[in-house]
Amino acid sequence: MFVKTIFSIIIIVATAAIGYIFSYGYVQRLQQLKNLYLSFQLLETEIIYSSNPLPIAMERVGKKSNKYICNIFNDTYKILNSKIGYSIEEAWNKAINDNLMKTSLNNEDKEILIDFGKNLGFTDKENQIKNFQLVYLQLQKQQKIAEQLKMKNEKMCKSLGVLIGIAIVIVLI
Amino acid sequence: MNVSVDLIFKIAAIGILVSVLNQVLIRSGREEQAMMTTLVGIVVVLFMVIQLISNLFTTVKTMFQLY
Repeated sequence: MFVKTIFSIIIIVATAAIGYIFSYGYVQRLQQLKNLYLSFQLLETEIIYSSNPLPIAMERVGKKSNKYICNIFNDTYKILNSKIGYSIEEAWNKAINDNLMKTSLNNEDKEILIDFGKNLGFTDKENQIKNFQLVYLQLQKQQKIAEQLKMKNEKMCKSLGVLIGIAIVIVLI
Repeated sequence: MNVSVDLIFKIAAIGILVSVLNQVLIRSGREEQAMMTTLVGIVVVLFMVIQLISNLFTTVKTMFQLY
């Protein structure tokens, strides 16, 4: 009886934890999209107003931005700074492909970032500004979608985890 | 009465749980999954009582001598 109780509690806690992890992903994605937006604003300031070269701009943005996404900028800086013959677009894509798995961002966000890289750093200021405006619009759209998804799924994941745990325990008893 | 009362309580618990799950899923706009959980609940309960049902049928058969 005693062992049974303990294992039932373990099962419920485990499934509840799984539910919480799933719901945490949604919260985290929204947060990271917001941070990404801020980082792009920083990058725009660096490029348009301070007129820094891209590697230096990337380095400074990487220092200032959130810990989950700073690696994208830091890696781009490292690749560009090591001067091993990557173009900016290739460096940007490589940094995104290496680091996106560690964040909660999904493939749609990745597409937006890669599209952004296609115009990064080889046209005049006006075009750069347009490019940034486009990214802002897309990121705002993604934020809205992420918020809706969070509203829809966060509570469901949490309660579903606990309830499925209880169901397993009842069936096993 | 050979059947333990535990089974009835178990089935009742599963019923309550499935109805709560149903509500949660419908509230978050997933009617299809809600339907699936209901079906899964029914199947689980059926598996629990299938032994008893088959017992009942054999009893009926022996009662009317239908071998």
